[in-house]
Amino acid sequence: MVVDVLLVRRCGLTCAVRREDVVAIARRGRGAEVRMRAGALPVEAVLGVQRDLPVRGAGPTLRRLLPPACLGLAVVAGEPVAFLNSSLAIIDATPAEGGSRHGT
Amino acid sequence: MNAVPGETLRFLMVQAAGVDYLLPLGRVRRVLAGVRLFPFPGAAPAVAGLAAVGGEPLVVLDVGRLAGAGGEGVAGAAVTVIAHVGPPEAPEVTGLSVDDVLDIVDLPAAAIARVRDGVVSGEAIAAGRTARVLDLEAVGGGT
Repeated sequence: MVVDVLLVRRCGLTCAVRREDVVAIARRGRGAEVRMRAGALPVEAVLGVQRDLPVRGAGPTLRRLLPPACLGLAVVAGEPVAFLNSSLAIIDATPAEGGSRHGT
Repeated sequence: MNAVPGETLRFLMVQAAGVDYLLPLGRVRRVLAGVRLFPFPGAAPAVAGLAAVGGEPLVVLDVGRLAGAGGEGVAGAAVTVIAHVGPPEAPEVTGLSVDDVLDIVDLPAAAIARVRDGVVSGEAIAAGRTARVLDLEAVGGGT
């Protein structure tokens, strides 16, 4: 799939959310907060907008090992990017930022 | 991994977190050093991180953690073995993070003692050392 995204840095990884899901961006401490229809996502930095980003979905084997919010993977400027479901990313971020949903 | 009695199997012998492992050579595509890993919070413990190789995103798994023997995670990644995991009819390309690549070894199927512990499917003496055989088809099935 090809999507227009907002690129952010979150927990050291470049992540992408659908551009159309973003309502506003605000400064928050040393980072920022991306406000979307589903809620607010705290991030370390907003990196910019990327149009027509080709995203590759993970296959069934690897999908089991990735966070549920990860819809696919891409590469921008030589770095891997996790394309996130905005709603699930916010749920992941709410109780314990950076925590694992798989145990340790 | 189904071996036929009398068959000789080829493996890439690697080391991760102080343990020797045998990866089926037919599933190995490339071996790369110096792959930069990015942490992926929220992923399964077996995921060492994400990387970009040849302009493509790559999920990199920590072999030690995959086998349930602990691992070094992002900081300890020294060598990345690019391999196919999952069922043969739908293989997926992934990176396997290891400390070192030791050798290519040929083993008669009969020399492998069957063990089933997650993705570990056997144990054998290879190049004078005890090594655990990894079943890369079983990746993702509870790892």
